Amino acid sequence: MKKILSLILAIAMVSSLAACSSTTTATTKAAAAGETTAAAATTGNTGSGTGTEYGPKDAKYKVGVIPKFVAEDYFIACERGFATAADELGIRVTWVGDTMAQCSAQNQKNYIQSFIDQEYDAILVSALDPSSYADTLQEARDAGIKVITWDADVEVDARDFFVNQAEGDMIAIKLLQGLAGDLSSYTKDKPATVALVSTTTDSPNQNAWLAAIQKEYESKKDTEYAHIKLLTDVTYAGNDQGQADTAIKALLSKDKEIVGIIALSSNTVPAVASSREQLNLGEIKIVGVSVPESSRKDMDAGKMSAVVLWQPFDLGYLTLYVASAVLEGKDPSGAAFVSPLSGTNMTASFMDGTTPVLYPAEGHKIMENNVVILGEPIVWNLKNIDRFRGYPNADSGMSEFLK
Amino acid sequence: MSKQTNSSSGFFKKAINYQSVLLLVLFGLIIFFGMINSVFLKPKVIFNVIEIIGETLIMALPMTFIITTGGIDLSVGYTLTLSAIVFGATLTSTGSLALAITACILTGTAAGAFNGLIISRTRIPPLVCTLATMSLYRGIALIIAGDKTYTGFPDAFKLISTYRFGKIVPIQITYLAVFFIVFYILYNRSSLGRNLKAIGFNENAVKFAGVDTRKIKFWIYTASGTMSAMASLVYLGRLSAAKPSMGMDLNLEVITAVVLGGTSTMGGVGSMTGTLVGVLIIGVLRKGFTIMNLSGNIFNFVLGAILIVGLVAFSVIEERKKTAKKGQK
Repeated sequence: MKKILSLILAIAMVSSLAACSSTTTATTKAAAAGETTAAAATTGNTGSGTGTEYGPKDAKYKVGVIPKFVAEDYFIACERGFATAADELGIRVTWVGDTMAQCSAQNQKNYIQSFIDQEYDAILVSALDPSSYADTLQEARDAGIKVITWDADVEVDARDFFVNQAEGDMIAIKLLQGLAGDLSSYTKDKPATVALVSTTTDSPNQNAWLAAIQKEYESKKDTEYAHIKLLTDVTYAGNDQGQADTAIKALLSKDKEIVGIIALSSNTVPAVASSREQLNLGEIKIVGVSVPESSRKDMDAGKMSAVVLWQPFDLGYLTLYVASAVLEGKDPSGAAFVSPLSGTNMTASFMDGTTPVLYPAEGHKIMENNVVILGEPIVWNLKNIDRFRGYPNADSGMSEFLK
Repeated sequence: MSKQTNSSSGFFKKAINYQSVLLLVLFGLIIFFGMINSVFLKPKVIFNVIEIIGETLIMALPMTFIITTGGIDLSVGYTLTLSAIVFGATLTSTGSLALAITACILTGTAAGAFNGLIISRTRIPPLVCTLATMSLYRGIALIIAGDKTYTGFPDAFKLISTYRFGKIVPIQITYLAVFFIVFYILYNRSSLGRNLKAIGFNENAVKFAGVDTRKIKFWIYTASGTMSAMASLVYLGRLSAAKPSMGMDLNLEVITAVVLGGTSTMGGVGSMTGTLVGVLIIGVLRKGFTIMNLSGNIFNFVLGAILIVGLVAFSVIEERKKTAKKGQK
């Protein structure tokens, strides 16, 4: 009997020890990240599993940041942007989320709830779906916590501000233009069939882009896009690489006419590229929304000419600046919000790789419903890919930052 | 009957002690997390644990029945998913909340009854059967929903999970209490409870004693399905979106809680109170981990670890019981 008791107690102790040790690693990691300056992003990063902290410990404001998922190219760049801004602004940032395989709206809700319990000053979230936890966000706002969405919005009345990467219309236009250019050998009489590949039916960003692409195409289908036949059926390839592979293979083997694909998430692009290879359909052109670095190999091999994406690093950076303004009671208002990014280098032109493209000096556009827009989407190709910030390394592309 | 009580009275002592140790672990964990972050001891946070364990407890109660008989139901998580999807699809297409709730409960019950039918009528082990139906139910959910997410549930419906008495005590506490009392009485004070344990010990003996074990088995798996559907309603009230990926890890969580609570997967031994404490421990761990800003990945690891430790601990206990008995004789 006693032996059983002691066994159970031993188990309990071991499990609490395990919990202890994981906390210590989390905090030491965080401390390490907090003490270094701009290089913070290098040390505290890419871990899945534990929340990571940035900025000074005794900061005036504590801000909880929840990405869609962690340890993924795009959000790693975002995280580094938050880290850099945290040091500049002296704000304590807690970054917590799950890996792509594990992420769920329920987990996001739990993190939000826990930030409310800990009386954080602001919660910044990139929403996996727009309505799952509106109640919890409302609860946060009732408790006086500022709620700001970034990257992917929730329902308008559940948050204070949304920091949007770019206007959906602009992303759509750049994608269509990019593909139209690639397919310029086709004519009105023998048009190029183009398919749209998205993630899931409930992804707010992708849906906005789809609508904008279709609208842009409809408005110019007899002129600028006359040589393109855009398929009305959208293929939904999910968030997961395996699922994407299956969906895209099915699409390409069903419709052999397809010569162009517009892909709307960073997952889709590699999946299209690989299934194209396996099905031996070399001539299909792809333009997509994707992390440039993930498509570098395909660009090098000439399979893909360009991708469209903003600077996710800057998105994280700007979001914290918006949060800081809101926390100080200076809500972004009027036509534009000025951040340190305003008037500085966004990237270099994809035409020559040298001409600088700047953020407008007058600030980031403010749209109705409290939406702050980072800037125009960027076309990335091999000429300007090295200007992409914060990925794969913390110092990638950083030489032009704020210059 | 009295004979049985005599021979197992020694074990009852142990069982009671095991549950009190569990209770100590529960309080120990609360104090532990409270020391790490005093936020954890706020009443609102403690009560939030009850909110987040709602679904788990509702499914763990019939699971205790099932595991006591030596069976298992791996399909509970996806039964919840399927019921939720049916709820969402019905609500979206008809707009009738009453119809959606009915369809949801019927779906869960049918899924459970299907498990029950196979397990009671064939010799297929419950583990294999429910592994297959788990995949089956998930598949049906995916076929119905595709990539859709059903949202926009009426506010009145959401209150079943979001209403809080005095803005602190979650409404879940009321029906969790009712469910628990019903299952507790069935388990400890009815012939059903006795038969469940007897089936776990020696099914053939129970059959020869004239008890229709097939009927019992059929009904407990059916009950598991119905309760999973109930759980899906509570879940949807809390997270107002139904999609096929929602109930993924719930079966692991439910089984871990029951095993941790002192119900042996070998059958014959179990405790309803233990299940309650087991679920609470899991809730406290989950809440504690999120307060520590640890992500769900770690939580899953810990769940798996607890399950393994629980299973090993049990086999050790069983082993010792046998040797102790031999020693007595």
